[in-house]
Amino acid sequence: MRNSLFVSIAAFCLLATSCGSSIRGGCGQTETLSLNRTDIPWVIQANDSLQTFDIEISFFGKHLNGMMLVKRQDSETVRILINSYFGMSMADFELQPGTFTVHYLLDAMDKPAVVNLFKTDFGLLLGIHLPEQFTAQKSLCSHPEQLISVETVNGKYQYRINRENQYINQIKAPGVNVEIPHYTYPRTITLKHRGIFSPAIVIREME
Amino acid sequence: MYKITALLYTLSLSFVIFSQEMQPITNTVDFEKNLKDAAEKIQSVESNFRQEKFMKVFSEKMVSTGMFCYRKPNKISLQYDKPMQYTVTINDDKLQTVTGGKKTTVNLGSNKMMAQMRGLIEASMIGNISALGKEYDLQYFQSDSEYFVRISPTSKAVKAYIKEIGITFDRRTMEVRRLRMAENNDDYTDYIFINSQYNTLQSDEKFTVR
Repeated sequence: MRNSLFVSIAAFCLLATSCGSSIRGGCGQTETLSLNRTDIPWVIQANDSLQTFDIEISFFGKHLNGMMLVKRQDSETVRILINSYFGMSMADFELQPGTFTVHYLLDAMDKPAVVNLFKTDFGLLLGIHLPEQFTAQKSLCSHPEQLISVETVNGKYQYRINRENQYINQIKAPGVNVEIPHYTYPRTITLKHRGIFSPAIVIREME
Repeated sequence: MYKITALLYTLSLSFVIFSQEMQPITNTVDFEKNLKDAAEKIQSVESNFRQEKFMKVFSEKMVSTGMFCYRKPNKISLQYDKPMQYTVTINDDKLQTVTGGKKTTVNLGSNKMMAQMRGLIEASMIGNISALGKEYDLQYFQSDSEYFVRISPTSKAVKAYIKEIGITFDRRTMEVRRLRMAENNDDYTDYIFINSQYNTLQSDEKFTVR
C-alpha cells in the first residue's frame, strides 16, 4: 500500500514538473555553436535611459504591485529599483555579471529564498546569467522559431527566438519559465516559477 | 580688502534672504492650537495631487498623478490615473489596493507598525498634527506665506521606513500644500495637493473595501 502510494506521488511529481516539447523535439537535428553572451537577445535590454515597468508579484492569491525602474549605469552594471505606486521603496538591486548586490529590500521580502529568486530572475531577463563565452545547441529543424539550448553549471536554458525580429518568445530555465507573447501590447513578461509555493511575476512595459 | 568685504556682504545677504524664507515659530502653543482647530473643521477632503518620487541613484523624478480623498475619522483613498490606474484605500483597519481589477486587502489592525504608519500618513495628509503621539519630534517654521512642520519619528520601526516628514501649509487658509516623505538622506516623495475642496463628500462610497 505504502509502496503504491509512493509510486503514485513520484509519478505525479514527475508529470507535474515535466517540460513541454524540448529543443530536441521534432526533427532532432542540431548544430553545436560557440556563442558570446551578447549573441543571445535580452528580454530586457538595459540602457542608459531610465525604463519603467509595472511589476506584479502574485503569491497565494495576494498581489504586490509596484513600479520597476531599470537603468544601465556603466558597461557592466545595471541598477533595478522597485517602488510601490504610493512612492515607498521596496527594492534596490545592482547587477553585474557574476554579482548581485542588494542595496535595499523591504523587510517582508528580505529572505534568502526571495533574494535568490530576484537574483536569478533579473539575471535571466537582463541576459547576464550566461558565461561570457559558451557552447550552445541550435536546432536545424524548420520551425517558425529559432531554438537554442545552452547547458551551464546552473542547468539548461532553452530559448525560443522569433526569427523575424529576434525577440525572445520563451525561455525554459532551471526553476522558471519565461513567456513574452509577441502579440500583447504593451509587452508583457511572465515568469512562472515551478514549485507549489513559488510566486508568479508579471512585468509590463509602461506606455 | 574690497573683494573680501564684498564677498562677506554677499554671503551675509544670502543668509538673511534664506532666513526670511523660514523662521522657527516661537509661540508653538498658539500655533498647535490653530492647527488643531483647523483640522477639527475638516470632515472631508477631495484634491488633485501630483506625486514626485526622487531617487538619488538615478537622479530622476518619477511623476504620478491622481485624486486624493479623505473622510473623517479614518478613511483615505488615493486614486492614481498616471502612469498607471491604481487605487489605495484605507478604511478603518483595512488597506486595499486595486490594479487591473485585482484586489488585495491587508488588515492593518494585526500589525502595530502598519497601524502606526497609517496614523502617520492620515495625520500628515490632512495636517492633523495633534493626532500624532509622543513618538514624533515636531519642529515648526514660518515664512510670510507658509507654515512648515518637520516631523521626525522616534520609533525605530517607523524610522526604518520614514526618516522625516515635512508638511507645508498655506499660512492664510491652513491648507496642506505639500507633503514630503523622506525615506533616507537621499530619496524622498513629494505629494503636491492642488484644487483642494473641503467638506464636500457626503458618503463613504469612495472608500469601500470589500
